[in-house]
Amino acid sequence: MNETAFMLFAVYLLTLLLALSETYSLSVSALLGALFTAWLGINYGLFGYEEALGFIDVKLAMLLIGIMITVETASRSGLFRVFGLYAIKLVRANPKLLLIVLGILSAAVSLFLSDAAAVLIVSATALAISKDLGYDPIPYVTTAAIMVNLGGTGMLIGSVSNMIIGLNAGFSFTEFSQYLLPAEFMLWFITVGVLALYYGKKLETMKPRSLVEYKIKVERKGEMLRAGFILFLMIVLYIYSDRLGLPVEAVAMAVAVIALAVMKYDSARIFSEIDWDTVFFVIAFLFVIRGVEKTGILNELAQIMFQLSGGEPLLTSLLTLFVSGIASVFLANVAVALTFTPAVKALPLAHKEPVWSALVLGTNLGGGTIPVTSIVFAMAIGALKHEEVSIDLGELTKVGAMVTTVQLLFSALYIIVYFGVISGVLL
Amino acid sequence: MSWMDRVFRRKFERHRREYEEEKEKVDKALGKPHITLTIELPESCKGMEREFEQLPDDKQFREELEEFIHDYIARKNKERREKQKCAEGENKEA
Repeated sequence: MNETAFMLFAVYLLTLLLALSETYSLSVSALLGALFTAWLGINYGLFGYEEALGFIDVKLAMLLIGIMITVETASRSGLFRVFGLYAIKLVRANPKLLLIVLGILSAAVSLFLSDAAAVLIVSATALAISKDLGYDPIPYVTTAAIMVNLGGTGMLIGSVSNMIIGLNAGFSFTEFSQYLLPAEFMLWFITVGVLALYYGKKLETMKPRSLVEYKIKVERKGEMLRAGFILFLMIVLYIYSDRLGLPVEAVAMAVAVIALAVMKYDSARIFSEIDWDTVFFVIAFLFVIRGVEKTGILNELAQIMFQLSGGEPLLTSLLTLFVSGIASVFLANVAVALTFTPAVKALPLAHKEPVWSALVLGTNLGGGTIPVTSIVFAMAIGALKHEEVSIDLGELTKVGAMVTTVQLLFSALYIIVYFGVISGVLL
Repeated sequence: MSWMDRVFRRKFERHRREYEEEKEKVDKALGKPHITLTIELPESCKGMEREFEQLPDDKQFREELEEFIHDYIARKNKERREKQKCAEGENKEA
């Protein structure tokens, strides 16, 4: 490793450390990293200014911002809240059924919303309902957080790491869903089943304090219908984007503009609600990664991965799944996705679909394991603390680790069966 | 406060307002009455700004406020009923 490569790699590690230690926000940590990468890279002649400008991924930024605008306008209508409340009303006060329905609902809502927005809606609903019934809210809020993290794993627009991996892999919306949506739906039921078993005894002892007959008030029906139409249009356009010859980021921006025009919300308010911290983090961290990529280190990483797995596509996929999964437990999964994508791109394999799919599963599933690094857990704990519910962080970590282990093992089996037996790519 | 508590607090604080707004909307959709008040620092509490701003997080304060709301509404209802009775008595006499 030469001097420049060493320094740029040190900047990369320092950026991760700054983000992990919460010294600065994710975006500021990555922006500092990008600043030093640019300064070192240009001064040491690794790349020029014009080339450095090319490190900014406009397509990814378009996709992120477009999806965020659409999601913000759709969630503002209250559509997901009302849908969730009706689903919960159906199970009445059955504690186990309530956990299962809430879990499935959390994953379904997270298919369309950002994790942060989904966990806010579901944890507020779970806390309100469990408070009324006199139930311990912890199993419900924990289930909601874990299922929100899982939701969206199988869709290109389901999470930021999916967008990064999907764009780099060159997957269309339908290809991405074809490879990963079956795994996601199976994981919904496996995960909620594991959680229902784990909390089984606790749930059996729960007796409703009173049976509350909710009369759900639906206001602004017109807005909800329009939001439903926007989401329907978004999915249809994504499905047909291939045939229409439209790149996914163009569809994302087009739907965002239509959503702003149809919903007629205050656009300034919508723009201010966008998760700019994540947008800047992704763009800036990608800049750092591109700098490291220029040094050839990530190519070496790809070579190591390839050699460790003996050039076997199946072993490479499983290695990617577990390494990215474990790395995402401790680091922001977006950072893991950004680091792994150049390495996977450089792998000398004819069919990389299983490796890309393994990376999607690893980064998504590992991200919801421990409370300190998982944003969904942190928000769920914040909501519980806000409602003055005392929580045992060790217990939460145990649940998170148990669920992630089951999910990763199932994902390994899925990759073997789907790509080995069904599509035959790994044979 | 432990390092972990600080991490959670910092992460949640960013979304606290959104959570409170969401909770209010959920309560409203479930048909639970909900009021939001903005109270300025009373004249008599000058110099107690910090304590005043911490009141929303004070469990005891919220419990006492709930009791006060109950007593206040009960007293107001009683007064209204008495007034009504008086008015009915006056009408009968007339």
